[in-house]
Amino acid sequence: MLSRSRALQVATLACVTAGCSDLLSEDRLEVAVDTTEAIVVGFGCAASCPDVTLLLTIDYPRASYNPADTLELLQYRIDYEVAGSKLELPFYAEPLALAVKPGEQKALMLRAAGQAQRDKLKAKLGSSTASAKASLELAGYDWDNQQIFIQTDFDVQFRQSSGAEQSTDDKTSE
Amino acid sequence: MTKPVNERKPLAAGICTLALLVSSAACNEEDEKREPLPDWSAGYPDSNTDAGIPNLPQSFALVLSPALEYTARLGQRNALDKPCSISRDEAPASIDCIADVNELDLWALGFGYEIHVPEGMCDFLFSKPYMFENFEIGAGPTTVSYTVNKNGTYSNEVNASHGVALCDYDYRRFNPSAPNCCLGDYTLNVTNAETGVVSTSKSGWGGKRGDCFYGAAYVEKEAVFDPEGIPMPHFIYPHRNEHVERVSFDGVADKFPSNIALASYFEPEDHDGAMPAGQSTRAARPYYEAYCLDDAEEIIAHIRVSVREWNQEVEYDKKGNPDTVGVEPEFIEGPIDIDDLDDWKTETPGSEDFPEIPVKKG
Repeated sequence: MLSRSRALQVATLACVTAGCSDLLSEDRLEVAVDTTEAIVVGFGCAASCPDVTLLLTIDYPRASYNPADTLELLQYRIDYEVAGSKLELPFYAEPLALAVKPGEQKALMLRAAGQAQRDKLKAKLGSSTASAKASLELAGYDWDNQQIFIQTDFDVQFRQSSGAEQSTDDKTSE
Repeated sequence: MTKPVNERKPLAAGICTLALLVSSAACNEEDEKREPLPDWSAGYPDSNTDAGIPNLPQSFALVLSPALEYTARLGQRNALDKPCSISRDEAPASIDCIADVNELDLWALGFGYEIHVPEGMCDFLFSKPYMFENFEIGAGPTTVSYTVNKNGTYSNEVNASHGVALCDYDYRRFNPSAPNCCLGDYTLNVTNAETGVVSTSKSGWGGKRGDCFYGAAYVEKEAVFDPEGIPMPHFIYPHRNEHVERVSFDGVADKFPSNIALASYFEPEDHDGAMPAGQSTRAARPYYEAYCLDDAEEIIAHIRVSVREWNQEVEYDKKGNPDTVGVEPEFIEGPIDIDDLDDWKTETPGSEDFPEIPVKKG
């Protein structure tokens, strides 16, 4: 299980539509990428690069517990901002099917990048290394069918792969 | 599946499109209640497309960037309705294209395009955006001399004024914001009038090439500059795979008071039948260019684009005259030109003058 002593980057839930549901402060949804150091994404592998995953934890402590107040998270995207560079990477996205009930804590593995990002990195960076700030955004609906968006940041290091990459699964699990 | 009494949606209904766990009736009911989420499918790993780029390239082509926030046109120079593209069957080939943009859109919002490389066509893609020689670069004189008189005044000055070496290509003496484009070295001979002693030293004029050009290449996102400050054209290696390269240029409204920064288009008749001086020098790059190359750098396909700014939207819309002149109705104060921003025709008519427009730093 996770080490809760690790630095957690916590994001709060944000409603984007008018008349957002009553997600009050006590309903605060916490989303965190569990990592103490940058997630390393390799590119330029001889064959296809292995998947790099990040471990996401979701904590939904609800004061006034109502089992029907389930949140659904249906997709995520990751945008990358490469430090000190104007290099623009395409965003990565995947669908999700995750329901979180009040009082639940959940953890799930998400891929941190795909081939489109690696192709661009290979073309632009060659053998260079780059650091990036990644922004993870989850989207879904609350119990009143209102859209919800949750965002958190984490650090990524892109570097040319010399072989198999270490998964963040290995780095962050105990 | 049991629907909750309080009419709140069941868990699975929200993921009906993903898991198909509920009946289509339940899905439809929920869909009606929900605003659709933003479409992020372009970033899916199995979408087989680059993010935001929905179509796979079929030809070597230059197309307007989907990221442009305004309306623009791009077509072949001799047939503007034809796409700016070269198919595999047409290669090897080179085509000229024109991008038409309203003048304020271009100046304030910038410009951008995508270079599409189809499967099996290009080993390398070479992208070389437009830039021009803003201030003429030249070699300074090789000798500078003067005499320092007993009272501190100067005489017998050659290539100097008041004891300061002068070079015609160092524009800072006219405007502190202008660059030094004077290259080379000189020998300085200073004579002491009182003693007759001549001291000799060597100096460089100190000009920096990169300060003397400007244009799209300078405001390209991801631009990389060489040690002289010149933006470097870049090679991309699709390795005969399909590839889409998005090339974006920032607007220059906060940096440069003319549209020639991004609008490369000119009519030779406005320039003595030739090119504007700023585009005709050896190091200038008069076009936005994309090359499809093989492994030995032979050209498989070549596209060059001129960007033409339009003075009036109404003319743009009817594909009329891009260079209309006149004044707008005087509803503010004083006459306002229809031609709000200079292009090459109005900035440097003829073929001898360089623009000499200082670039605002920062």
